[in-house]
Amino acid sequence: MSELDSSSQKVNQWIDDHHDEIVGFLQELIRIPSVTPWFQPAAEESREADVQTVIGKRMQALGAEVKRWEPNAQELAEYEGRPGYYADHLFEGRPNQAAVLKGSGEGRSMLLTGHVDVVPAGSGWTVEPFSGDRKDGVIYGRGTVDMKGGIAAMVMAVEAVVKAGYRLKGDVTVGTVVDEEAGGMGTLDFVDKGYRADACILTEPTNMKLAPLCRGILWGKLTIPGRSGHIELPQGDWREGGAVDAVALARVFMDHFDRLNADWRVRKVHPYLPIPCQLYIAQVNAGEYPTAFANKVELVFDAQYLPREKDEMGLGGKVKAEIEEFINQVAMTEPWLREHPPVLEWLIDADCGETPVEHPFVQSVLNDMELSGLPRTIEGACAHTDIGWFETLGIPSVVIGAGNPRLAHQNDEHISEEDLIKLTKLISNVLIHWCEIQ
Amino acid sequence: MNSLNKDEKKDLVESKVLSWIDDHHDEIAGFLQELIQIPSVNPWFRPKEDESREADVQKAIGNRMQALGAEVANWEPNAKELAKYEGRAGYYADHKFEGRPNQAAVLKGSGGGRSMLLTGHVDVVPAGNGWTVDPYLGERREGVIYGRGAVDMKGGIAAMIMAVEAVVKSGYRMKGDVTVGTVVDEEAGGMGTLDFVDKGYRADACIMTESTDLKVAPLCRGILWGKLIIPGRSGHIELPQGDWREGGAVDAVTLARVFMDHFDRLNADWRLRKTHPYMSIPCQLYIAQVNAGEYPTAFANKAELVFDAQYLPREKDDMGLGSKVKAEIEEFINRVAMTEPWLREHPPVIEWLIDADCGETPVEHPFVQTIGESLKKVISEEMIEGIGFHTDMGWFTNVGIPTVNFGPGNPSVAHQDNESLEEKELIKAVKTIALTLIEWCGVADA
Repeated sequence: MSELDSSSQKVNQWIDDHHDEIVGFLQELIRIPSVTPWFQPAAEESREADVQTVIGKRMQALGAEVKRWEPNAQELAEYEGRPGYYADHLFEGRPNQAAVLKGSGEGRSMLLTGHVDVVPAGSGWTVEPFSGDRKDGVIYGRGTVDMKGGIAAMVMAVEAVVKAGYRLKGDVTVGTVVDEEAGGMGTLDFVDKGYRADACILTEPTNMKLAPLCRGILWGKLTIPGRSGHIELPQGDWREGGAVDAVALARVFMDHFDRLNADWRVRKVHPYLPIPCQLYIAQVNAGEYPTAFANKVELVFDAQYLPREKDEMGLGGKVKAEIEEFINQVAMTEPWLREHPPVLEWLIDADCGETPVEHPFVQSVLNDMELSGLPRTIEGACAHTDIGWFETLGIPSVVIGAGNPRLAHQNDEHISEEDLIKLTKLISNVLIHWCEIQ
Repeated sequence: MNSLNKDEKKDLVESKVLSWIDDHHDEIAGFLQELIQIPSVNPWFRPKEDESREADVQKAIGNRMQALGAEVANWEPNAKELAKYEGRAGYYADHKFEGRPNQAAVLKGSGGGRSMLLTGHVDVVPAGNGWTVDPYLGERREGVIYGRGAVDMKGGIAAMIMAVEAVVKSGYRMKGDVTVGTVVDEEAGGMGTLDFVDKGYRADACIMTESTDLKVAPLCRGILWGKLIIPGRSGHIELPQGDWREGGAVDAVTLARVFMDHFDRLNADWRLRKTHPYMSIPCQLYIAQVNAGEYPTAFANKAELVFDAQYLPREKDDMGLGSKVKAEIEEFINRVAMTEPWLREHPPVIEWLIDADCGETPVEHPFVQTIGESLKKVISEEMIEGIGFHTDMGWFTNVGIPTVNFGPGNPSVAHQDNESLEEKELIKAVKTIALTLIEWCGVADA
């Protein structure tokens, strides 16, 4: 069982023999800057369509039928209130794409999916962010980890199978979407168009661990009202016009969030997640002048939720309600806040999904990991990925990808060639064993 | 008519002057309106030229005083000439005074009396948004006068000048010299007062008519503004973060909370130590502003806390400023930093933004008693209470002049929208100052 069968060996050999070509393909993708328009990049840095073209050509050369189309928010209006739907997102010149390599028949199908858009480079790079520099076995560039490395691996895995001379029984679809970095509407549209399979791999980075789940993410902005007043003068009862220090009130909430987090550390854990869900304050802004008590405070927080906490829309409505109730109860303890309640604005709700580890597909991938010389490590993804929709539609899905997720969105994002090749081999092994060869 | 005894004579003078004030209520209000209607925003705030007319306010004051027989001297301060005050309160090398004169209007006494200095600043802060009336109209409505400066501090300027006018126009001459000293630049740090004192103006007593809710304030407090910058280390807020020694994130918001908790303890100590029998509140270190973090998905890379800490006159250093208190705060912050391994290696930084001085005159001093009693005559209550914020009185006490702050208006409305002053309060202030002049300087028939 611990030995690869001969077909996998042959395909893996092809991959080793074409190491440079695989690396070159990733570099090609990096060199097409495809920053999501949401970030308002310059036009020449926002070329998702060109990335799709490169992928499409590659897949076409393998015999795949490539379809591409532009999503349309109006046509997706029925998904209002569901994950990934944003009425105001525009997709002109921004196509989704499905490249289907038909199988010979009677095999299980596979969907390999990922997003082609990236976040802006930002400042602080020591190399050119879109040059795809290759140095000492490492490839640098915005998107190497998140997630053009994964895209390259899945395309080249299919290529390896085909070029090693094999035909798969089951269909393989390489589905590449836009707009993930702005909320996942590309994936929503992709599933709306009806693409399905017996299993799905999403190659977001996981340090080569198998992630059978990811977490939902809520961003909230809590605005706590105070009442300004001279900070150097006596301030009396607020009921008689005295000041109310919003900074002091913010501290009350932060102390209470400590207790919420202690509770969540016990309750909101998952056997396959290394950390519990928590409510973390990312940003604090209070006060305007050194001589005035702060008139209000804004706390921006990030709270994660588990797939089992999803509501019937597949989102975090129940967790929002839990947080809102908690905040209200805290406000009730303060007479000023009873009359001047804090206001909570939800900024983002990014969904999640989970496939039971016992599922045959997950077990199959684990076996392939072992055969590929990888540890059978299972660890959920702690951040959001677009896996939710596939899981909702009943497609067993895993997230597995090369690269350290911590490097995503950072300066000097990079991926090791070794990891890129390992991922390519793993996917090819999964294809061979799941879809089976003719 | 039989000669009146001294007390009867004094009562007569007082009642005559108080009557004059009552009879000239509208004129007094009108003078305040006149001053408000000359917008004199301190150039530091970069106002339009037609809103920055300190010199014209000085002119209006000068004309009024000249008509009473005062000799008016007017000059522009010069930062270079004041360079020897580097490191002392009120000195700013880069302040410019072209077209911005200080002024001293001296009404010479008949002789044999104690002299008095009446002082205040003619500049105001900008109006800002949010007024529901014209900030420079000086609108008078239902016994209230509205306008930028009504309280801070053209009300006080009007009060002191009209007090002098009341005495003179009632037919009296003060025995001691009375100087009305009006300065520029207070709202940008007090360099006008520094220059005024440097020019040698002195007196046996001084009333600075900043608003005090009509209390006699024998002291004010020094003010420190500091910005504490606490370094963290950014990292993804949704991913596992390990030991910072191995690259893990350090949440600057959490560190800010550590400092705020410790400041609670500092304040508990200050509540016991930094009190004064004539201050209704202890000195405290208050966090006015907090700014931390940049993205919802990242632990805050740093946190900035801006705080206001007050100090008492007895805490001044030998330059007359708050360096001993700064040192105390810095030491406290360093000790808190020592409790955190990360902060030991990545220490927080304090940036001092302002150090505004203060001063004190012992309450037992005859002058404080005199003005206290004058106030009691007007409002039937003796109200002596130190003022919580900075005023320019420090330099006068430094050069040995017994000084109080005393003025009409609620200091809380200074710098706010719809700043306003009750006319009744303005009149009470005029009366109190007039009675103090009579008692302190002594009067003779004109």
